[in-house]
Amino acid sequence: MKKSQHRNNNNIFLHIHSDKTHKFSLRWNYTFGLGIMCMGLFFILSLSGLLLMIYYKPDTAKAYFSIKDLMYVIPSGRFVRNIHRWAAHLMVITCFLHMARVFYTSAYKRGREFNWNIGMVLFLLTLGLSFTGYLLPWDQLAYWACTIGVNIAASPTQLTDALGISAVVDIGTQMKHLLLGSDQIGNDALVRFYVLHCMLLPFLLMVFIGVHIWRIRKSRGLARPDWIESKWADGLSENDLVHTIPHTFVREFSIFMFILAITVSLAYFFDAPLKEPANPLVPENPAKAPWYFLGIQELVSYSGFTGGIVIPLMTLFGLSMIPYIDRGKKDFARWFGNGAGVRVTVTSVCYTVICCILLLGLSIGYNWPGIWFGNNRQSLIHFINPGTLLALMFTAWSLFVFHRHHSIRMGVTALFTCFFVGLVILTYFAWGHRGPNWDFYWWPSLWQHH
Amino acid sequence: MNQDISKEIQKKLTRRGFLGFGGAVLIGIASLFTFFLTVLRMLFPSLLPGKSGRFKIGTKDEFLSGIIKYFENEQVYVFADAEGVYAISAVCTHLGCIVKREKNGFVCPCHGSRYDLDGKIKQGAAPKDLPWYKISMLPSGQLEVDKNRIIKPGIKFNV
Repeated sequence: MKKSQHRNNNNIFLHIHSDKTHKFSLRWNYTFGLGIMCMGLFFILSLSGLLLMIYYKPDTAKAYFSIKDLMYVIPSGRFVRNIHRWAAHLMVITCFLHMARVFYTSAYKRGREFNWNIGMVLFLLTLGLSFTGYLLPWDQLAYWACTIGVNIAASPTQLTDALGISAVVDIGTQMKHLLLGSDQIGNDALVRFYVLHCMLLPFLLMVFIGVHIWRIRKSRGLARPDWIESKWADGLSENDLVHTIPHTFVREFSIFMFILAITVSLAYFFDAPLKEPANPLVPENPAKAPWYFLGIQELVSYSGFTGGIVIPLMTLFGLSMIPYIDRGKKDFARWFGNGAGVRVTVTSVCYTVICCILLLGLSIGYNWPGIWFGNNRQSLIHFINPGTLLALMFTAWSLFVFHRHHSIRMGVTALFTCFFVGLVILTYFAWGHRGPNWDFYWWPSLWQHH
Repeated sequence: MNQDISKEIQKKLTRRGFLGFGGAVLIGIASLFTFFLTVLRMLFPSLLPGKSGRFKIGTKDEFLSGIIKYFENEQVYVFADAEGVYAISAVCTHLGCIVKREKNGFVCPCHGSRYDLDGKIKQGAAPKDLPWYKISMLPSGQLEVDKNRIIKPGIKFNV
């Protein structure tokens, strides 16, 4: 026994995992393998990205044509580029879902608070990688999506302008200069985005993935509910343990194969888009950000600074504070905790759908907030717009739920659900129902082409 | 117990020792700080590559009343009416898209901000009106627009 353990411990795989895994951690309907999927996608992205790097040239005169070469000349170039594109989309989605999984199973408690925040960092890095990758093809889609993204980063200038201190403190413009190395998107910006995308962000991502996994190991594996933990303490749970090799290994490998299969099939059937070469003189109409930023773009269309900076930052801050606000010990590692959890989640989803339909309907039907405040609306619009009202309604709802159930966990569940579903609805809305000039259309087929 | 420790520290901690150690720490912090400031400075551009923002638009005679010209490369509209010539930026003040001129104003394709023909906001998320740029006449008789100098809307160039 001792001998075999010794032999096992020399295996790097068993340095990441413990020798034995609890059966509970292997239940597919507890984790859905989402974390492993994120890792697998990162692996796929690294490999395909490496292949793309061999041919890509970060220069505004050459970038577009090197992508074109990849698409039309280089053997399998199109396929590898498609894989990279689809894996990136899937990674954003699985990160989202992984976060939701951890939240709804309360797995961020009992020593895992910090790891929840590491996860937040990983999520931000994933978004950063997606965004910096978006500019590299240097086509119209890339150029205008990045113009909008960068100007959102520069929008604190709107605040300093309103306060009249832009001459002294101008964070917005400095952010812009830092990102672009210039005051407009050009060669300097392309090189900076390239360095971020291929060097700095992947490196940081790897470091933080390491910390993320190490913290899980330190917390003795995935979160397990109390009835298992108490059995563990009594020493009765030996029968519930299985050898990590082969059981855990086989599962993780099959999850990886599963996500690889999905990526490859999507890449086989659907090409990554490449529009005309970037033209700084003529914007795309509509100019849309990448889909995972469309929810924010909808908020931005009400107010650049509030929608692009204040609401996202407050949401991120709120998310990172969740484990420190909800310090209850109950419902650990159980989906939705108990009956009340399911009820709160479902009612919160309904509430969010109603709120969103109401406010989006108002804003389209009455062309609001565009023309409601008359001449002095510019300052008011930052404070009162559909975005801030939604955030307010969500907060009020979660306070109500908290009060009603006398449970912080329920209040937080309501808030998380509202923001999560709200973001999904806004993203869908901006993706499907916003056309040229950001006007409302029932379907993209109704767009009037200019 | 705690008192014992603090007493022991007091015994060991002489003024000379404190100043020596503190000085070293201070120098260390200062040099680290300077180092990072120096390195960070490198990330900010010292001069902005790109155009100067000043460009010629032609002589006064070319701008008879009623003429509207769009300078695509500079993203500036130049109008001429009975009162004079004036230049309005075509870059939306919201998030930097290029506005399009329509019958009674400008429309931004990105987030639907609308301005009237003087560049004043009518609706949308744009925080400011479209800026007016200074026009001056060069000794050669050419008119020049300077995008670095924003003037009050309504001031039109006239000789």
